[in-house]
Amino acid sequence: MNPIIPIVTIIITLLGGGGFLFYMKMGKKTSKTSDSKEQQTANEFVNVRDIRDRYLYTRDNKVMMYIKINPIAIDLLSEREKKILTKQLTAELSAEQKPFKFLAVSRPVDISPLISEYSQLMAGTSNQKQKELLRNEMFVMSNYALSGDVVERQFYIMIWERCEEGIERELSKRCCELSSRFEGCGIPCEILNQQDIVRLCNLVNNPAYSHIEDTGFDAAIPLLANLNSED
Amino acid sequence: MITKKTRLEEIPVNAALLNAITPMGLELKRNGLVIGENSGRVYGVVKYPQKVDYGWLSRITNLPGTIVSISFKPIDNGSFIESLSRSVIQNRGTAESARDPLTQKRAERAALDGERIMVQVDQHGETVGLLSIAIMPVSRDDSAFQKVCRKTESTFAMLKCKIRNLSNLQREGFKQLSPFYATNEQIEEIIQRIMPLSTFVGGFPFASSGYNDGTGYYFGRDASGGLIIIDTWKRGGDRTNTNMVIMGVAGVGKSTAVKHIARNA
Repeated sequence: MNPIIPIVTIIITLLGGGGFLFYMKMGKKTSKTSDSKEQQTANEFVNVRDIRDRYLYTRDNKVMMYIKINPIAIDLLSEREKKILTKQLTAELSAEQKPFKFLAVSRPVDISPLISEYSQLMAGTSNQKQKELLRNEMFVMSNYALSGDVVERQFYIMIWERCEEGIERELSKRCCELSSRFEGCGIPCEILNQQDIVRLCNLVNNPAYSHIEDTGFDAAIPLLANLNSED
Repeated sequence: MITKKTRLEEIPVNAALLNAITPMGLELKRNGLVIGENSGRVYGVVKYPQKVDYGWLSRITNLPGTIVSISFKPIDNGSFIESLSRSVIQNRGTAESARDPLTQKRAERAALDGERIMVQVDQHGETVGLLSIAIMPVSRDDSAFQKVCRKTESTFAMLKCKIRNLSNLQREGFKQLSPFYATNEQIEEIIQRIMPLSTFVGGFPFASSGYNDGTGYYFGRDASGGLIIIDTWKRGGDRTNTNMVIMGVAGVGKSTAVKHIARNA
């Protein structure tokens, strides 16, 4: 018998076994990753690495900047004015050759300054009629605010860039240009800073709380105020 | 590659910040999602009408109780014009050879619209891009949520746009709407449509009703439901003086309103 035949058989078997083992391992690996995708936590879903100054760094390696556009009222513009504004803004924005995203979110109207002004007025007057009117006014206003109907819409434009060395400067330049283009057409806007970006994220993720919570996010260790003092 | 790696290592994940901005929980269903204590459902706009008015987008972006994202991706004008020109030729051919009047009229119309866009892009240097609109009604309780969903659907129907619930793609849809994700390719492939920049800008997505000085007197609501709060004594900018005109048919309460304002002042 040829001694080569068993050797060849063994080699083929070994190769086949090795291949099968390798295949099994691969299969296990893929099933594991899909499993972890199912169990991804909300924390992992929120694609934020950090927010510093005016930049948001994401986990998928991008840097983002945001511009808040203050709403304009177009109901009072004539057809002609609308046309002119559209043409002007289109010409300005045509220079922007990279994708951008426009976001519209609801934010409860902040009526607290108005309410506090009313209560001050009420404390200062002795006129019964005025007091009654003010009370009624406050009642109506707080009813509106609590019903959740009274929201103002807020508009944002976000732009992004891949995270690289020194990209912040480039992105910031692009952002400034974009905001000055809007301002050139009489639409006021501002570039968001750290706190505003946190607030925007909360408007989307935790809409119910965003108007009452402050935007500080540093972890604090609560200590009893007078525990270590001498007296 | 090296720079990318070092950049990533430079910025550690800020866990305290994440805890502050993460919803309490995130549950993905086939036709909707639960974000913290709110329910949401992501829709995408899949069809737009041939003609739209000024301010058409403001009606979409001002729907109360919704989050709207509109992404715009400029595309190469040259190749777009070429394909547009080809489609104009094709449509003209169809218009001439078609036997039934319906096909003929439709093809004529398409050819004319195509020509108009071509002129706009070629001679006025206007940018054309891929526009995608995603919208998510969000509400805490179920009945209000259903109401907002219906309102959203009817608003789009009135604008002659078609919207679709992004079934099985709610996670990707939410990414498209979030401020911490760039655009999502999977969603964009479904909902992006070619549109000239002027259609986007002339839609005035950043227009809104209502007015708030922060202080002053609550006057009422405007036609679209925005609160009007004006401080008649505020000066600055073009406001150098305050005058009021009160108009209305007999018996609607003009005098009462005047008395009311006078008492409050």
